[in-house]
Amino acid sequence: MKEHLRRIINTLAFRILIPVFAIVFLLGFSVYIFVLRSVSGFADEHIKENIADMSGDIYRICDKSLNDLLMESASGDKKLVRLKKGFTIDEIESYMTANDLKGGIIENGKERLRIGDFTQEFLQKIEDTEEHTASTFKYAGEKYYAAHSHFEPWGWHIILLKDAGDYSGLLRRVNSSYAVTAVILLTSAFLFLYLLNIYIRKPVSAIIAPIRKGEKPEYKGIYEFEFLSGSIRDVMERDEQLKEQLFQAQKLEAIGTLAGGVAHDFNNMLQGILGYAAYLKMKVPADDPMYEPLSVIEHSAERAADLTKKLLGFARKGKYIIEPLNLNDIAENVTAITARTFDRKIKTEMTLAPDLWTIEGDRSQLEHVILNLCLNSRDAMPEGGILSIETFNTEITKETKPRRYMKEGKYAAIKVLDTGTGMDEETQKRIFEPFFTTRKWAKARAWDCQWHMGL
Amino acid sequence: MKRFLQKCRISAAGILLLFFIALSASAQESLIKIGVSLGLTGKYSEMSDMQMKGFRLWESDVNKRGGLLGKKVRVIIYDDKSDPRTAKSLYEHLILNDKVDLVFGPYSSEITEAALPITEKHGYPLLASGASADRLWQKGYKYIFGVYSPASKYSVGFLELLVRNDLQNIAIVYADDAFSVDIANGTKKWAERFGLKVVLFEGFKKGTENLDFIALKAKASKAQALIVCGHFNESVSMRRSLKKINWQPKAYFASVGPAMPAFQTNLKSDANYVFSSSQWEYIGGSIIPGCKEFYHAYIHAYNETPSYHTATAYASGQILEAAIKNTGSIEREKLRAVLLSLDTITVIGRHGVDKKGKQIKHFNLIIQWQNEEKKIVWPEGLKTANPIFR
Repeated sequence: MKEHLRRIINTLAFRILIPVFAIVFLLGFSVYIFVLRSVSGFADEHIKENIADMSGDIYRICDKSLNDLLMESASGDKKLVRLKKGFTIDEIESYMTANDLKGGIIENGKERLRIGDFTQEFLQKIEDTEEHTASTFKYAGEKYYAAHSHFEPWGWHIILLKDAGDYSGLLRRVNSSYAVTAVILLTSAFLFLYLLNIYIRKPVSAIIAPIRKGEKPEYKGIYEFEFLSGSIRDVMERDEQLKEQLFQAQKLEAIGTLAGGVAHDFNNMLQGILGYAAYLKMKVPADDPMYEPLSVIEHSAERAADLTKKLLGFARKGKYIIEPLNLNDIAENVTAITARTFDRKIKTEMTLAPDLWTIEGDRSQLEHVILNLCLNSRDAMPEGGILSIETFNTEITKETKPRRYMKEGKYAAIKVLDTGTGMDEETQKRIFEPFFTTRKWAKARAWDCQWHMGL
Repeated sequence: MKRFLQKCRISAAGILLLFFIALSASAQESLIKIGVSLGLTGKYSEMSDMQMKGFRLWESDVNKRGGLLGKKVRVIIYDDKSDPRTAKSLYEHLILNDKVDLVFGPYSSEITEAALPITEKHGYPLLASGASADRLWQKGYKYIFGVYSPASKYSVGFLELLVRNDLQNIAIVYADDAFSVDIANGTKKWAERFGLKVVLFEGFKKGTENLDFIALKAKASKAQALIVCGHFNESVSMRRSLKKINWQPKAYFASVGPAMPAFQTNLKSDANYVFSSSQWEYIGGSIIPGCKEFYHAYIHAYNETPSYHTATAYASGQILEAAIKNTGSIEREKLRAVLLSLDTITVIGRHGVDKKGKQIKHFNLIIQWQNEEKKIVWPEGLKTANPIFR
């Protein structure tokens, strides 16, 4: 369960979404509170001003009525004053109704007008506030804005009340706006999730899934992920090559060790043959019929010994005579042999760099390598062709090195080219394998390439 | 040849028929239809008949002026038999079957109250050409517009006269229908505002023919003035009861009834000194524009003098006419908006409503029968005679 939870928490979607949601929510909520308070505050001030203005309007209605009486010289006529008060109360009632106001008029303690149902104590509380100034009061669980004034000539106390609920439309509009915003935000969040899924999670999964199975990712699509997929694929390919090379090296080492052991023993045996062949040759005159066979035995034994030396060289890797030498000399020596021994249909060409760098190596081994390569070329050109040997200076950098195990640096190079049948890809891969050959009739040659590798 | 002629005759008849159908359809399209139901029979027949004549006169006058928006006006009038339920179904019929463009209100507050849910449901602005009960504007309806001065203000002028003439104690009795109750409540409220003393405030069942018991109660209350809130029949019955119990209050006011000539016809000299309110009376001269023309046109058309019922029906037509001209269309929502802010003069005086549609600009007149003649006794500036208190 814990592991499951940990996996959920560590998913890409969770790590991105939770902060996004948290920020949006906090931001939205803060702005909501701020706007709501601002709107409420503004509305509150505006409503209070409005109520105070209306209180002033009602005072002016009373004032005008009294002035009318004065102008008609009727302010002393009790009957006319009664009538005027009655009409004034009606005018005030109409004004209050038109403006959704509640409250009333109290004349010397006697109620003359009442709109709404309020207790005397509540109305008394309003009377304690400053005249023509709006305040807020709570009555029966409802909020009211209230203002009051006195019209002294008639002993009137006028109280105005406005239900705060009448202004709830304003706050409802703010709330509606926020509801719409919340819907937009939620929709955006889901859209974001959808895009995240399509453009990030799916490509990442497409890269990760084959890697988990040990396969190389082959993602095609968004450039950045395609690049990442390609890079991972390259790294995996190099890893495979390295493993293959390590395996090859181990295989060769095992074979080398075996071959070295065999060669060592075989060489010891050959020393006996060589020794006795030489001893017998000394015992028989040169014209003796046995002399020639003994020479053949001795010569064959020498060749066998030479072969064992090569095997030992392959097995021991570098137990050769190392000396400074020029590859041009090697090329010239080998060409001297091939020119005399190869079929005339094969033309030998040589291009030698005059300023070729001096290298360190075993002269005879190198000559043997080049000679063997020339022999392979000859075999590849049964109908004749051109065999060319070229020497040149070169520099191997990180970018240009053909094989990973090669060190970067300056190299003197020798190139053997022929116009023969060439090698297919499969052959190219296997040329350094021991005993590999494309010719059944010349297995001896098969050692050559492995040997070159040993060199 | 004979057969050919017969074929031609049939073809010609067909073409003619099509032509008349097309003509009739085109006439329908260029017509503005306004529907109204009135109690042409039953208890409201007298007032409804006067209203019908008012609507017909306006229809004729407006069409003489070229109609409305270039279209002829046709007022469709049905008889609801003074029955609220019939009126309700008639308004549904007018709206759904006759597909009228607009409607006028029926006669009486009671029937208007029954028709309102239908007109509200279909969004038809209704000019209350025969109703004034305050409660009609207290139910939150959006499409009702008052033409009459509201019931609660019917007696204000009379109460003023009482104050001015040092009459202090009043008895208010009322029938228990909505309209009469509204008048009674309004009267009581205004009486208190004017500092009068209400010594009796009592209701009775609507339609009660013998009102002796109420008259006796009023007499016992020592009221100086008696106010009866009811309809025509109650106003007549109370006058007879007063005579029967031999009590003559200083002033007798009946809210509805005495303004009609039939009151005097019924009571003869007993009609004298009775006060009442009237939505309109012809004063003569040119006090209200168009009033003189209306008055004479009515006499010319019907050979009788118009009552305020006729004048208010005609005025309703004028209000609608002004609103349509102002709007430039008969779209009901647009008309509703214009009617809410319209301030115009009709044959009965100034018209204007508050935001609930209640009439606030028009005021009632107070009349009194004197020497078998109807006199205007209030307001001061329009009076044709001084009030007489016995």
